Formats: sequence, structure tokens, C-alpha cells
Amino acid sequence: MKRRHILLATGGATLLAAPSLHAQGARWPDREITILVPFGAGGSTDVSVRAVAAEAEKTLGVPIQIVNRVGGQGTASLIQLAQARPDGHTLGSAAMSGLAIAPHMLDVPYNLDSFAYLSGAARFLYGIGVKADGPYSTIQDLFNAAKARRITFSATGPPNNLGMFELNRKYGTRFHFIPFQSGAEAVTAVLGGHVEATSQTPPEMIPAIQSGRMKLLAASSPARWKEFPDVATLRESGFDVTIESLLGFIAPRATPADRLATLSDAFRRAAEAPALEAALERFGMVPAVMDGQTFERAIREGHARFGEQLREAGLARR
Amino acid sequence: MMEGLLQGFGVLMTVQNVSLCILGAVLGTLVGVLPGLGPATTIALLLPISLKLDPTGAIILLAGIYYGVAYGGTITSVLMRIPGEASSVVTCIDGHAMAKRGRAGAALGIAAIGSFIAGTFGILGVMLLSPPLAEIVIAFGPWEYAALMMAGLSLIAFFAASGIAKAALMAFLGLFLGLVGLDPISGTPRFTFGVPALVDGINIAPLALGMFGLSELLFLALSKDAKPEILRPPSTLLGFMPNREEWKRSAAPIARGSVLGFFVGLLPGGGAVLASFLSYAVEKRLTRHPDEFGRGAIEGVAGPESANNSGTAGAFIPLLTLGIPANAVTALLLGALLVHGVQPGPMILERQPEVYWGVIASMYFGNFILLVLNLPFVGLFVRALEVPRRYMATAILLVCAIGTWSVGLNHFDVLMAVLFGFVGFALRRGGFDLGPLILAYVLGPTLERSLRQALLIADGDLTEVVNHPIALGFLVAAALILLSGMLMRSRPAVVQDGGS
Repeated sequence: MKRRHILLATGGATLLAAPSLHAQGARWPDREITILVPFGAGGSTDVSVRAVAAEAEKTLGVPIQIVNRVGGQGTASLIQLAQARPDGHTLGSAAMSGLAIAPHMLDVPYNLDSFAYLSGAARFLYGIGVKADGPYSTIQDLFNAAKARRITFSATGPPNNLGMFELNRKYGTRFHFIPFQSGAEAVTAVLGGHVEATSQTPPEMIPAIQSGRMKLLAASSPARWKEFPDVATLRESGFDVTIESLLGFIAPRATPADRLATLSDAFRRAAEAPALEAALERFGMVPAVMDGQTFERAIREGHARFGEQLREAGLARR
Repeated sequence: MMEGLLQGFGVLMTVQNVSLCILGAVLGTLVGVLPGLGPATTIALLLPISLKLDPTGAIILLAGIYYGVAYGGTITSVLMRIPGEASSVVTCIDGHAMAKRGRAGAALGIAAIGSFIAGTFGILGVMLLSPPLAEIVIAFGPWEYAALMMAGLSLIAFFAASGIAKAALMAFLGLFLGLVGLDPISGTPRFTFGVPALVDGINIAPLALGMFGLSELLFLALSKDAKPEILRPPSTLLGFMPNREEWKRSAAPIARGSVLGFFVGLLPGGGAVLASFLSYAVEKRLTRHPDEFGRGAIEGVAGPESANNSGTAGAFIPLLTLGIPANAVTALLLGALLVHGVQPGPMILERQPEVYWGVIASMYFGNFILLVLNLPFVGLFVRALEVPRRYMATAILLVCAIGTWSVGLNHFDVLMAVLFGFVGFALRRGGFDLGPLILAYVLGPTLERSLRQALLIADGDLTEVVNHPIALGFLVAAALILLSGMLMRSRPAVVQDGGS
């Protein structure tokens, strides 16, 4: 319901802003901006980007069009963005998946230097869950079991599985990754006892936890889950492991600096809007407002770290 | 229960929601009729619009499209031998053969009525059995899915009009086409030849439209007849309807298809496609007119068309109670639910009963609307056959190209469709049936993923399967299906229309 009001409000703001644009022709942006989204309409990335874009429209005073350029595991839209005219009218939404993970696994014609970084908007949450009536009631129980024997866990793929790999690497546990196609299937595999644990995100895990069939043992993201404030993060439980994955905005590298500054400012302010938090929450994200440099640094660190983890897990391309 | 349903109808019976339900059903039918323009594309296009509606209204609209498509997909299968959807592939065989015999109206009529009955049965199933059936889905692990897919693949024995060897060859080709893309375990690209567009695998739209649609056009172009056959439609209105004999023969297949389709549709991975193939195999096995199969047996339309519709309804159970999408379309519906703050899961009945019951009520209503919408138009659709084929062929080519392109906004897919058109043409001239190819292509990826998951969990120990009785049951079923299909083949051979 809230969301509808945002959209209506945005429409109104755009209408109001239009005449003033004609008055001062020198102002940029002077026409609509397109954001390429690497995943399909209705998914978590798409909806979050739409929510931020709706806010940014107010500051920029031009309509923002969302184009879902799906394909290549999130790389197709980045390939298109890297080749787009660098005039600030074509931007991209970017997460770790396309920028920091896929380049280690697929042969892509872009690298981190192909883009200019505008701002960070949100952080994904992750958690480790087990069957509620199973033998493990704390993260320490699960950890001890994985020290003694092989423990299977379900996840969709990087970065969801990388936290468990990191535990294996640092502490000699034997968590064994079983890939599943969707988060809900990964969670259901735990409920059915087909695997012993799962490393997934809140939207799929929360219904299972609230119905009493699954237990959340730890948050593996840097922050705790809002719904379960008593469940500590891995780091708080004494394990030096965290999954950091961010969502932000980028542009082709050669975009003029003044336009980058305008966009960066608008998107950062949009991410600060209070209405955004509720929209993000539904998809298991929390706001993470960052300026361009901070976002770029986080992505570059992620690129290096994920590369190392993927190579060790044997998932990187040779 | 009744209270809930009444609440649902209370939610539905607003001017807005009723109009949305009708709009969805109409759009869905149109989408089904236009080959290639799949439900996934349409729902994706409409999703931004649906954001402006309240959650219940949005889901009613999107769900209307979803089951509307299952109706519409039949029409092109019967009239032109072009499956509007993968779940209508089977209908091409006997549905089109019926059209050639001048019984297109009967085929479309029985499909619409069978779909309505099966759809209603499926909704009753969703309403009454959701919680216990969700337990079945949970109990299904990698071993069970792998074995179920094996049983599904063994159905090719019933689609082997041109010999089991040829059918097996086609199944292998289908399995191979399903391998293209990223390895489901390691994520490394396979058979992509460095083409970025192939990283996500071969889409069903270029494959089905090329193999069936474009190859059909090639046959048409090749036929030297100055006057290609025009199927004479019946002169009276009632002539469009199935006759008494056809009704009698369809009743049992519709009933069996409804039940089979519902239970197969429950399980993600094969769903409506597997349901339609399974129902066809069952009817072929049980029929008293085995010689008619492939030449226009009404059972071969009534059964599968009922099965794919109750399968469509069955897919709502894992979606609503577990948040598991059964296919690309239900995945989009899931996204739509989440956008509107509806969290599918075991708690949905307690948390958001108005959404749950609203959807159920809209399914009843939408099914009714579809029947009312489809039956009177059967005559009109059949008239399309009177359009001279040279104009029709041009239109089909254009629609196929646009449909293929619209799936991923990708020129490469159109090229693929053309390529598959020539491959399909060559295969059909060589006497190969394409049904096994499509079946294997749809089931292959689930089979591979499940089997590899199972082996990863068991640390490579194949004998672990003995601890999974359901899986063992499916493997036995697979053996029996193969055997039974082979035995049938020892009877006088059935010549299947090769399209030429």
C-alpha cells in the first residue's frame, strides 16, 4: 500500500518538475535517464532499484526508466552498460554478483575499470538455518558437528555459499555445498531433511522460521536480522566470517565528472529516504548509504576477496 | 473453509477485481493464441502496472493471465500444429490430426470444456488439500525428483510412432539441448561456444517455435499444390461442438487427466508439460481405439488438455505454501507477491487470508470466464483456417519472429528459431517425432540437477537410493512404462502424421 503512494507521489513530482525544466534549459539532466537492471522484473534487485529510482526522480526532475536486461548471470546488462554512450543518461544497477563474482567465473568483456561508481544503496542479509527439531540448537553445535564430520548445506550459489567456505578455510570445518536453483528450494531441502543446513537470505527463510519448522542459528551478514534481533552474527559469535554483498549504482567510465557528481548526489540522497527502508526490508535488505568512493572500495575489496574464495572452492574459471 | 471461500468471493466481487480477472483471462488467451509471446513475457511487461494496484488485485490480474494462457495455447496447436506453449506440444499430434479430418471445432470444444472441468478440480484440490500436499513437496528430495524425471523420460516409449530407436535418439538430442548453458553445480559455461546469449541456455520459445512452427511453414512452402488443403469448417453452429460419440469417449480421459495433472503439477521441475505427456501416454495405453492415436483420437486431446490445466492449478500449492515457483511464470507471480508485501509460506493462511482466498475465488471465477469466453469463439477461431495459407503463413512467420524476440529482446534467439526451423524440418522429413525431444529438453535439466545434488549429498554413493522408497517406486514405474510402451509397439504400427 505504501508503495502505491510513493509511485503516485513520484508521478506528481515529475509533473510538477517538468515546466521548471523548460525555464532553465542549461540544467542537466534535461531528459529521461535509463537504468539497466541485470535481473527480471519483480525480483529483489528490480524492486529495490525501482524504489531508489522513484526517490531519485524527485531530485533529478526527470523520469527514470527501468530496463530489465536479463541474461548471462547478471553480466548481460553490465556488458551493455560498459558499451553505452557515456552521457549520464544510461546507468546500471550493480551488485556483487555481476561486478565482483561473475568475472571470476565467466569470460566477460568488462572489468572494474569499465565503470564509474555513483553510490551504494543497500546491503543483503544472510543467515544460517537448520531444521527446528534437528540436533543443532546453537551455531556452536553445528560448528562442532562440522568439525567432526561432513555436513551438507543448501544454497543458491555465490555469495550465499561463500560464508560456509570461509568457515571451512579458517576453522577446518567440513561444510559441503549442495547447490539449489532457488532460495525457497534450498530452504525446503532443509525442512525435508535432505540437507542439514542452509545459507540463504531472509525472504525465503523467515516464513519457515516463523512457522516453527526452521531455526536461525546465526546471521552471516555484517548486521543482525531485524525480525530476530536476538540471533547474533557469526562475527559476534566468535567466527571471523561475514558475507558482504551490496547493491548500488554505476555508470560508464567516461561519463563527464560534473554529471557523475549530480547523479551520485541524487542517488545517495534517494537511498537515505525513509520510505526506502520498508521497501528493502521485504526483500531481505537493509539500507547501506555510501558515496561513490566508498562503494567502489567495497566492490574492489569484494572482487579480491570473492576471487580468492572462489578459487579455493574450485568454482573460479581457470 | 466455506467461510474463507465466502470471504474470498467478497474480496473478488468488487468492480475493480472482477474487471481485472476478466482482463487477465482475455489477455492470457490472446497471449496463448500468439505463439511465442509467452506468459512470462506478458507478466513481466504488466508487473510495473500491477505495482499500482493493491496486492489482491495485482495477483488476480497476473494469475488470470497465467491460466488464460493454458487455454489459449491449445488453439494454435489444433489449427496450425504450432504449440502456443510447451504444455500444448502433445495436443499438436491428435488435435491437428482432428482438424485435418474437419473436427477442429470438436477438438477446441473438448479442450475448453476439459480445461474447465480440470481447472475446477485443481482449484478444489488447492483449496482442500494445500497443507497436506505441501508435505509431499517437502518430502521430495533430490533422489525423488531424479527418479520422477526418469519415469517421465520413459514416457517417450509412447511417443515412438516411428520406432523406439528414433524416439530415443530424439530424447538424447533434447537432453543435449538442455545441457547448453551454465553447469548447474560448478557454474562453468557448457556448449556456449563463447556466445554470451547461450550462457543462460536455449530458451524454450525459439526451440518450440522453430522446431514446430517454422518447420511447418517450410513444409507448406515446399508443397507444390496450387491450392493447399483448406480444412472445411462445418456449416452449422452445433457442428463445431463435439458429437455424442466424442463426448462419451472424452469423459474418462478428462477425469483421469484432471487427477494426474493435479498431482504432477504439484511438483516443481516438470509440471504442466510432464502432466500433458503423461496423460497422453495413459490414454494411448487405455484406449479402445489405439489405431486412431496419431490420426485424430479425441482422447489424445481431452486428456492432455485437462491435465495441463489442473497442473496449472496444482502449481499454486508449492507457490503459496512454500514460496517455491514451479516454472518461470510462477516465479514472476512469486515476485509480484513479494513486491506487494505478501510473504508466501505456511503462514499465508493466517497472515493474509484475504490474499489467499481472493486468489482461490478468482481462480473459480477466471475459469468460468475462460469457458464463457472460449466456447462461443471456437467457431471464429476455426474460420481462421479458411484464410488462404499463403497469407496465414506470412502472418505466422511474423508472429513467431516477434514472439521469439520478445522473450529476451534478443536477435540471437530469432536466429536460433530459424536454425531450429530447418533442423526440425530435416528431422520430420527423416521420420523423427519431435515430442520426445521437447519432453527430454524440459525434464533434462531437472534430472541432471537432482541427480547431481543427490550424488553430492551421498558423497557419490549411488546405492544410497535404496534408502529412498519413493524414488525406488518411480524407478520401478519407469521400467514398467518402458516395457508397456514396447509391448504396445508390437501391435500393428500406428503411422503418425509427419507434417508432410
